[in-house]
Amino acid sequence: MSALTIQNVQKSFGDTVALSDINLDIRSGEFICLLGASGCGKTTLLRQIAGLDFPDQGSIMLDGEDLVSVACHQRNIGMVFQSLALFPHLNVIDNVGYALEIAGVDKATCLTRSQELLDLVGLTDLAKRRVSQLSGGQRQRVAIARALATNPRLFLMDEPFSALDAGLREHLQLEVKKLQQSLGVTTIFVTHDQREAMALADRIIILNNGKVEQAGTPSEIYAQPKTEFVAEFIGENNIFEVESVKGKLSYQGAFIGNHNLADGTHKISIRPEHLTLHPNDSKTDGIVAEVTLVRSLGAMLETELKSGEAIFVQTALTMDQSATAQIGSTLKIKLNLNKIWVLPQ
Amino acid sequence: MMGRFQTHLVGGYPALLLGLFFIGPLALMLGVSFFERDPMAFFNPAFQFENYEKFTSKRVVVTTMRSITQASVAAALVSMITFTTILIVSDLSRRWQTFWIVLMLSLLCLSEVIIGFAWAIVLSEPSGIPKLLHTLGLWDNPRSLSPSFWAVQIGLINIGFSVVGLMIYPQLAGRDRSIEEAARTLGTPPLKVFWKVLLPNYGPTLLIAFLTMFVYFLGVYVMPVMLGTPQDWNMTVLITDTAIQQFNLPLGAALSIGMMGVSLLALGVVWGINLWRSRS
Repeated sequence: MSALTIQNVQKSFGDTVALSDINLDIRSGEFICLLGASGCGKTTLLRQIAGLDFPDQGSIMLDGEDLVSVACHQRNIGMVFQSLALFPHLNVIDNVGYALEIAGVDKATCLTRSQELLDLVGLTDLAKRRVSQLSGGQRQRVAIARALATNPRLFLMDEPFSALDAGLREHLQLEVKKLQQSLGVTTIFVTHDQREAMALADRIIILNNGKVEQAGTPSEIYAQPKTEFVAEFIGENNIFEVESVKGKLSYQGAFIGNHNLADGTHKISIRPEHLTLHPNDSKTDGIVAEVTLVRSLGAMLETELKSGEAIFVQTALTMDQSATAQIGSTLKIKLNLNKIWVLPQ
Repeated sequence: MMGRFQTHLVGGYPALLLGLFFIGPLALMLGVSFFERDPMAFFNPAFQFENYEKFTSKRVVVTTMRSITQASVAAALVSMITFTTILIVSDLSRRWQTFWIVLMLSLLCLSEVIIGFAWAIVLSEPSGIPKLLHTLGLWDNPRSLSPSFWAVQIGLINIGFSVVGLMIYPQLAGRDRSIEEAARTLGTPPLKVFWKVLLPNYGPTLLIAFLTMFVYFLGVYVMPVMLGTPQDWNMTVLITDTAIQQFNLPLGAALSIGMMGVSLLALGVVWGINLWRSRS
C-alpha cells in the first residue's frame, strides 16, 4: 500500500490552465474519488499521476519518491481507462497477463497469476475469448484485472463505468469497492457522477476549474460544503441569504426561527429533506411559497416552490407526506434550523 | 416504390461494369492464350497448351520468381515505411497533418516516368547522391547506384508511398490512443509499444496494404525498365516484350494468365493468414 502526496501541481495547455496549485495528501489504502464537471481537470490530474503527462510545476510523491522524474512505464501504477483500452489483438487471458509478460515474468507464473486475477473478477471461463466477444461489464472486469496484474502501487480509474447502464454500473461499483477493500490498494477513481462518488469513496476531492474546491468524507462534503460551488454541485440544495438580528433569523422580512448566528447577512444552505411543508394558515414560522412542481421519485416526493424570485426544493418520503401539495397552492416552508449550513463568505 | 424489375436493373449495373471491364477482357485473354502464334499474322484460333508448356522454361521461372521477390520486398518495405511515417504524421497538429496529406496527394500527380527519371538522376554518379557523397569525402570511388535492384525498389517505394499512406491514414489518425497509453502504464517502454501493440493491432491493415502493393508492383513496367538492369526486369516487361516486340500475343496472354494466378495465390495466402489469425 502506498501514500501519495501532491504538492503545488500546475498544468497548462497553451493559455488554458488545467490544474492550478493542487495540493493533496492521499493516505495508504484510501479510496479517493476525484469528482467534478467535465473539463474541471480531474482526468488531467490522473494523467499526471500515471505519468502520461507531466506537470509544469510541483511534485507528485509516492511513498517519498518523486514520480515526476520517473517515466510512465517505470511507475507501476495500474490504470483503467475510460475507453478501457483493451488490446484487441489479444484474448482475455493474454490481456490480463500482458504486464507480467512485459516485466519478464516466466510463462508459468504469468499464467497462474492471470488465472488468479480472472477468478478474482469472475471471468475464469472466458479466458480464451477475444475481447470483442465480451459484454461491456465483462470488458470492465478484464480492464480491472489487467491493471492489477503487477500488484500496482496505486490503482487509477478514469470514469470506467460512464458507458454502462445504471444497473450494471451500480453492480460494478459494489464489486470494485469490495475488490479495493480486499486488496487494500490505494485507489483514485475519477467520476462526474456524485452518486457514484458518494457510494465508493472514503474521501471525495471536488475539483472546479482546475482547483480543489473541497476534500473530505462523503458525509462532510454533503453536510458541510465549504463553498457555494460544492453546495450546489453535490445533491439538491437550497441556498439563500438570511438576516440575523439578535438571534432571530428572517428571510425577506419573514421570521423563520431563532438561531445563534452572528448579526448580519449570511448565505446559508439547507438540504431539501430538512424542509417541511405546512398549510399557509398554520401558526408555524416559515417562508410562504407557491407550489410550482410536484414529482414522484419513487420512495421520495419532490416539491418545488417559489417565493419571490427564489426557488425552494423540498423532498419527503412519499409515505410521510400527509397530503400531496397541489400545484398553484400556497404553503409555508419550515426550516430545520439545526441543519442549516452557513457558507463561508 | 421501386418495382422488382427496376431493382434488378439497378443491381445489374455493377455486374455490367464488371463484365465490361474485367470478365470480358479476361475471357478474351484466356481464349487467346490457347491460340497458336502465326508468324505472318498475330495468331490463329486454336486450342492447344503449347503456350502454357513454356511456363516451365528457365526464363519464365526465373522471371516469375524475380517478379515475386521484387514485388514482395517493395510491398513489405513501402508498407512498413509508410506505416511508421503516417504514425508520426497522425500525431502532429491538425495543421501539419493537412500539410503532409496534401503533399502526399500531390505526389500522386507525378507520373511513373517523371519519378523514374528523377531517381535515375539522383542515383547517377555524375550528378546525384554518389557525387554528393564523394564531395563530402564519404565515398572515395563513387559509382552510379542506378540501374540496380535497389534503384528499382526505391522507385517502387516512391510510387507506392502515397497509395499506402492514403489507405492507412484514416485508421491511424482516428485510432484510440489510450491503447498505447495503457501499454505504457502496464510497463511497456515507448519503442516497445510500437512492436508489442501498434504493429500487431494494425496487422490486418498492413497485410491488406502489402497485398494491394504486391499485386500493383507485379504489374509495373516503367520502374524496372528505367531503374533496373535486364536482370531486374520483371514478368510485365517479359509479357510486353513477348506480345509487342515478338508479336507473340498467345504466349503473352498465357503469361498474363500466369501472373494473375500469382496474384490470386497471394490473395489466397493473405486470406488464409487472416482466417488463421481470427481462429487462433
